[in-house]
Amino acid sequence: MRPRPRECGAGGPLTLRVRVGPFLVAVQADDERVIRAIRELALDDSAVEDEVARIGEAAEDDAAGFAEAMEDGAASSAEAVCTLALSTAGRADSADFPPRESAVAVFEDVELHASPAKRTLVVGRGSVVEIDVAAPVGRGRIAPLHVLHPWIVAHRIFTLSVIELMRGLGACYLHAGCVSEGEKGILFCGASGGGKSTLTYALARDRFSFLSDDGVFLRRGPSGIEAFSWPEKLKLDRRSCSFFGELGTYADTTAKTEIPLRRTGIKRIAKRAFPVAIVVPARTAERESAIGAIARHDAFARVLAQTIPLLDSAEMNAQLDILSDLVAACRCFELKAATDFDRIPSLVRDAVFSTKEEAA
Amino acid sequence: MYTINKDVAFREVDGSILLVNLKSGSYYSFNATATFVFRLLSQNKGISEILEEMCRFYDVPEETARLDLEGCLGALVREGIITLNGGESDAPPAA
Repeated sequence: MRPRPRECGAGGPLTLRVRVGPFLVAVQADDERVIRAIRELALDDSAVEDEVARIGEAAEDDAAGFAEAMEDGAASSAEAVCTLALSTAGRADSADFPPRESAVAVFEDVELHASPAKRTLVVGRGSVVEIDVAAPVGRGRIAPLHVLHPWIVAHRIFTLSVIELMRGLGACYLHAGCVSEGEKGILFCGASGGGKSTLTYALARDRFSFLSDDGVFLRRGPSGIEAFSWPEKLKLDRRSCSFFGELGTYADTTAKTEIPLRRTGIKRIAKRAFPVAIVVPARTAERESAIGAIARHDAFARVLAQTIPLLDSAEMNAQLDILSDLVAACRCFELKAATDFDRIPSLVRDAVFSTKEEAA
Repeated sequence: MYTINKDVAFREVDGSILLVNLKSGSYYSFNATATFVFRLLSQNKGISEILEEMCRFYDVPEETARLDLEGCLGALVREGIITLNGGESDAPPAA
């Protein structure tokens, strides 16, 4: 039985290890609620490892010492360890934040500021995370109001910090669902509300392994473009839940719901895959779903629209290189999805893994 | 001379150019004519050369090619993708 995080003050900061594909993110926090919010985000326990640890002798800003303290038999299997230290003590003053106008990207209440060696996330003008991209190490101050809202801690502060940490490790984020069969991955790429999560789940409850219903990281490895994820809880709205018997309980909810693994029909979780297909979902009023090949440049345009905000020309070009290599390595399809979800997995499997020549 | 702004990044995939304007955050997928023109601009070709290539490749009269080229260049300038610099006249030569 894993030890549960304990209250701060009983011995030191609290820590959590989060596995993101081949990497480890070691999270340090001085408030149990921060740790709990991040743990709650995980699909299952394989992605997070509680650690009751006292940093002890390591200085507060000794990130290297902290990382070293986190490395043990489990962590040493990671390709790299990055650290994220989140503090709720000491209120960040608005004067500490860069001016909003200097943000390179703004998404709802989140600003991303960039300089050659540092990224700064400002959330709701109350919390700030500074990320040393070269290390990569993140240090954040979380506003008390945000601590009271676990969703902000998990989905804004933590998730967006991880995206920037992964960027420092050469991986770019793609807003896409992903399943795999063996090592071969299938990406469902499209705008929010287009059916990615529902289609990803339909395949994952069949015989495919689940990586993510919302986003994956892409990087160039020795064997080609690799996708990896940190599996978060599945998020479906009530209409989508209504199509799957095992999710009937969630069909009564009013908004998108995070569904724990044990309540889903997901049979296997994967953390890494090599994409062999990109599927762009589209809705159809027809009774039966249909899948057809699309041109690579069409697929590339769709994929490009689902990448995260761009920072500078060098980074954009590096990202375009990964994306164009991804598209070159994949068969590309459009899936006009009806509600025959019991049929869609075999439809996709037959199209993706057939030996027929792909139509131009 | 038209130059491609340094705030853009692009790739050619299966004969079509996809481009990102970092300043505006907009994405573009070029049609065949725009891809043809942009590819030559990226090779630092001048307007006269581009016009000549268009006439040859599309087998159209110069006037037709000039109208298409002017339309294409105007759109690229409006979207902040290329800039007209000083120097030699870049107006497509009159008939």
